[in-house]
Amino acid sequence: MNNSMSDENPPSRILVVEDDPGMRMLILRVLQGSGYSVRGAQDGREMWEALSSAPFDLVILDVMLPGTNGLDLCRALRRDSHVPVIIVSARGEELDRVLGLELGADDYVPKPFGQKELLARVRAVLRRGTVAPARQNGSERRESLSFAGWLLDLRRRELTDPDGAAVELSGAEHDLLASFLENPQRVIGRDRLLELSRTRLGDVSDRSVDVLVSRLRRKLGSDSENLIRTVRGLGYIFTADVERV
Amino acid sequence: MRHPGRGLGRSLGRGLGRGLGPGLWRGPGLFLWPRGLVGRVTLVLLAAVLLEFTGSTVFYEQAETYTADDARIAHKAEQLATDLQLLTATAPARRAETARLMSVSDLHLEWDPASRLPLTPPEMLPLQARFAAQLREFGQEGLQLTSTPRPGDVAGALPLPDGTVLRFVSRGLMSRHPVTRGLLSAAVLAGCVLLAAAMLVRTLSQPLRLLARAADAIGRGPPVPVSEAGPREVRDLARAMNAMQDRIGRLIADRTEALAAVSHDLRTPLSRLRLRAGFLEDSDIQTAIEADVDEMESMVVSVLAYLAGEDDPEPRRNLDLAALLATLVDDAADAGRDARYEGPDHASMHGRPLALKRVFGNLISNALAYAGNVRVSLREEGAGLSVRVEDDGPGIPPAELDRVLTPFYRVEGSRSRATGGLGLGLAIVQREVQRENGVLRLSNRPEGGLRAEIVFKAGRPPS
Repeated sequence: MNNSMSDENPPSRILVVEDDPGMRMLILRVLQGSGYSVRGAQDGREMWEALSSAPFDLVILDVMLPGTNGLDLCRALRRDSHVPVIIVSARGEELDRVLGLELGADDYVPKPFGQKELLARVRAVLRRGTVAPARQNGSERRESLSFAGWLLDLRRRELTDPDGAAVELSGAEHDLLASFLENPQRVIGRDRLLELSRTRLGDVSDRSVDVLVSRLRRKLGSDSENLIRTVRGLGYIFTADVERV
Repeated sequence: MRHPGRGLGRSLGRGLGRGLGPGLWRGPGLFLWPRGLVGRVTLVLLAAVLLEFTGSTVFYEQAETYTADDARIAHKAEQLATDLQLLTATAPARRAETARLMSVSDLHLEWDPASRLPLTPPEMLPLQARFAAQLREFGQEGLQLTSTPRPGDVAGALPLPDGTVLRFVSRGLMSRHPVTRGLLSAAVLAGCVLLAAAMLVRTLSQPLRLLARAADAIGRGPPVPVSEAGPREVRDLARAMNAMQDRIGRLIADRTEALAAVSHDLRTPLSRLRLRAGFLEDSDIQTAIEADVDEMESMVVSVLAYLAGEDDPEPRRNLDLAALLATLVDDAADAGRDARYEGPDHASMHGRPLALKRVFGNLISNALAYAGNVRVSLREEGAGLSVRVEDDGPGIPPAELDRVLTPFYRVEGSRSRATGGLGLGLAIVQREVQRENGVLRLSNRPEGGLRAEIVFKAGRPPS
């Protein structure tokens, strides 16, 4: 019924740590409805119990918890585990977002979120999580990618130009650029790009990928035609060397 | 007691500024300077009176010395000349006795064969000259004057032809003369005293003026510490004002915290509502609930943005304003709205990215809400940047253009009811633009519709 569940793999297991009973029930119900195997925990203690009894593919962690708060739990979790974490917060502050991502969370979803947004983020993190056994090599995961003097900070979702100025990107543009940077000097088809980029647009089509690419090119400056080259009938190729920083 | 005036100052200050504590005399200098306003004003008055007194003494004494009556001098000269002639004719053995007999109440005479002619002191020379001139009329020469203990008297000596000397004291010759040199000197004196007093009072009121200026600045920004200086009453007032500022600050902080807490707490039930709406079968109701939740969320966001204002820790950095505007416009266009961006692809600026995003996000969503379309244009002007956010809507009545910038103010009429919101959007825009050293101008376009123009004069970073 959705792409992440289309194969024969057993359903992903998700642990939801949330102290508000109504909220916890609703998140569990939404995830269950999409075919995930879920379990709830109302605080840090129950989270550790659940994690010791069974493995999980994803932890959804609320920031405001009784006792140890979500950010501290996230830090503790990261010390000996690579399980993907999505932080959920009612504070919605930029600081929480940056802190959460810097502490090793994979994504940050501010309340009030809806079903679609939650499911999209869960899917995206799970997809990334499954491609990441290479992560085991280094305890530090990739944080920034540099190309042609530019820098994309994946944690803060921040693009910096060669002069050090912050260049605003929409969510979709960021995901598109990240997809290019993770597959440099390789032709990527429109369909693949769409799949790689977490789509945040209401209507997704081949056209919208072209629109996104043209917007991205405009932001990347004068040399961007060369940076992201169109391969007629196939898709796009990102030409510059990419370095992990 | 290293200062002789200390005791006096203490008692003066005590007496005039009621109930001074002993600890108030810690000041290192000015021991005579009373701490209270009453004391200070009294001291100024005292100084004025003293000045007037000294001045008039000097002026009047001068006047008296020089206005000794010529007629009286002539009269005395005649008297003296007669007496001298008589004495000359008297045998030396009887001269002393005769002189005593000739003395009258206002002219005392004394002859002593041993005494010599004295020399006139320099300050008496003018009087000596006038007196001598009168005596010359009667054939007498050689007058010398001497000083006397009483101010009205004139003393002197005249030589007899045989070389002996007649001493005399003319009592009351210079007696008090009520006529001064004229009203002019009195007026000049009064003027000087007035001026000095005015200057002193001016220094007295200086702390009050500073206080008034400080009071005027309170409430327009961060707390203004009022310096607790000046007379005791002013210091008390300054202290009270500082305490009041503290209380107001705490009160506002408490309320702000409460409002922020409520806003934060609303997010969880809103999230529940949004998740629940997803389970509804009826998609119309689902859409309606989503819209309600969106509206409530935007209120929560605007309240929190407004409250976060003053102590927003976001640091300044270089950023691409063109990319920021294009992203906002593209997001609106992707949501199916009529939004356009005109301008360069890149424009460097030094500022706070999130704050600027909030500013232009608010202006764009306002335009879309009230007019249904928005046109954002960016121009580089020398070292500055100018951004216009325009729409083709009804604009804002001219009388309301200023008022829409005040927090929680909404233009009356159908527009506000249709579009909701708390009336914080433009207040946030105004404040954040000011904090970025920019200027916000709202105007109605001649072609119709609202124009919000923001100019960052020196917005571009030094290259």
